[in-house]
Amino acid sequence: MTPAQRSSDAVWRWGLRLGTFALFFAWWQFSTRDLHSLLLPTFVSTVAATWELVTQGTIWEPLWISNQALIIGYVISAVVGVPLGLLMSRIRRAERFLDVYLNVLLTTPMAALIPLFIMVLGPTLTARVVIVFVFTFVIVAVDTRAGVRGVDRTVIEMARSFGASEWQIWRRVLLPGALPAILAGLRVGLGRAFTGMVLSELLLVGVGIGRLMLKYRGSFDGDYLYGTILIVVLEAIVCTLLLRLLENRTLSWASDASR
Amino acid sequence: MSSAQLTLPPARAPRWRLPQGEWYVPLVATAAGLAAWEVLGRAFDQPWLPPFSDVFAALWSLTAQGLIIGSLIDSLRSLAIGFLFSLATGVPVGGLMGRYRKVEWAFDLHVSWLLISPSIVFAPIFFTIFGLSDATRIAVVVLYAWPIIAYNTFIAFRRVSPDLIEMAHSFGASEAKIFLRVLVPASLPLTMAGLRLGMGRAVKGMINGELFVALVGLGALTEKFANGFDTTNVLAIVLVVMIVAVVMAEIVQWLDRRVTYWAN
Repeated sequence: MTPAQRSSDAVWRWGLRLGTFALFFAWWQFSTRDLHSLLLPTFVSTVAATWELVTQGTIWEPLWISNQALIIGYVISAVVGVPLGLLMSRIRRAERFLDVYLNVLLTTPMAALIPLFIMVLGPTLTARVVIVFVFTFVIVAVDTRAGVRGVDRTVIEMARSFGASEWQIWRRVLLPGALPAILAGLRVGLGRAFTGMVLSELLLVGVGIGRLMLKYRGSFDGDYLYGTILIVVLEAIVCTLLLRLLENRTLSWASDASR
Repeated sequence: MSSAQLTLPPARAPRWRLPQGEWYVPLVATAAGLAAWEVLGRAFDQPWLPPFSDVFAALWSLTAQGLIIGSLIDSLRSLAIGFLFSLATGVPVGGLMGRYRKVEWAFDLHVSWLLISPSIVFAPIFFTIFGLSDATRIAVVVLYAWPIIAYNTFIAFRRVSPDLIEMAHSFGASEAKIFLRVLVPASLPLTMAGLRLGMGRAVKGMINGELFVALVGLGALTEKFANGFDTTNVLAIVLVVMIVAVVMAEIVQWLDRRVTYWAN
């Protein structure tokens, strides 16, 4: 590809990407402008409300409260999920029995269990942490297991025949080999953690971001409602992109190590 | 490996052993889990952990009262509409993205941000647009299922070997023919995998949307019982939701095998 072609490609790429965004925002603006609806804000008023939420600081405290559950729940999920996945990948017999439950946990909508957690634990931080945890840890464990299983058996056997101990095999072969899948699991898990955080607050625990959303809905402040949602979505996107960045950086050495 | 092991007699014959990877392993595991639930429920005697038999009895009586069937039909209807809509729009968009760079650039950021963001956070937005109507719940289902279906179809079409397309070209195939005879069949296995993921997410969207709107369906029923602190009935509904999730996954898997039998 010639440089000229490449730069014209880049123009097309970003022209189309930004163009569709612009088109969407224009459509949003013009389809809501004449409604004068209390609950359906225009694009411009949503942006203004978002700006206000950020600059006047209304968003920060609810966001912090919500994020406490997110951070604690997510960290516990990583600390429990990764070792659990590693364990399952090595102890085949136990794993075959656990498989059913992992599948059920993976396919069942965890949201149906939220009322139960609230009933048992009350509308507390603990309940929200537990909800984030059950949303997150399964995918982390399953992806970790898949990663270890995906490691080429011949490499393990070679390491063994060269006299590597179990610990050395783990450190030098299995963990580096499984790292891409582990990180991918942690990234997907983060998305689920956000879902758990938002759902628990929207459904039963009136705190944080969820409470703010329900409050704005109740007071017909559509623009602030949309602004709050926009901020949560932006946070989720930024966090996921950061994890992906970390993933790319880590994988550049991991692929060297596993080769 | 395993065949070599089979020809050797075991050094010490085990008294009994489970045949490897047999069909009854999941059954034994499930039975063991249910038994443990029953025993723990009876032993602890806590309101939040009713024994399995109580939950099953509750499920039975809810079904007999006709509460389950009605809610189930409501739920499945919004699931079906939402999933079919995602299928009918997500697959074409993903396919065109995979075939044409310009379509890809027009949509790729949108598919990505939809895939990354926690879909449930948009439920209040749908609420402001559609109110308490079915459309709110269906829209949540679509938002859960559509991005993953479009994304997988995109990847599926992109991974079709360019050699195949080139060969079809040089044999004078039209663009429509290339699509129907080369791209669609070659991308089918991955597209179907996307549909499987999409169905899993659609079921989640269905329940989450219903829990949020709390008017009809299994989600609303869960909310109702939860507000009365009726753990036994909540767990009975959770059982139904689990069964729905598993059955839906099986249906898509069955379809997958029917459609892509040649790929294996």
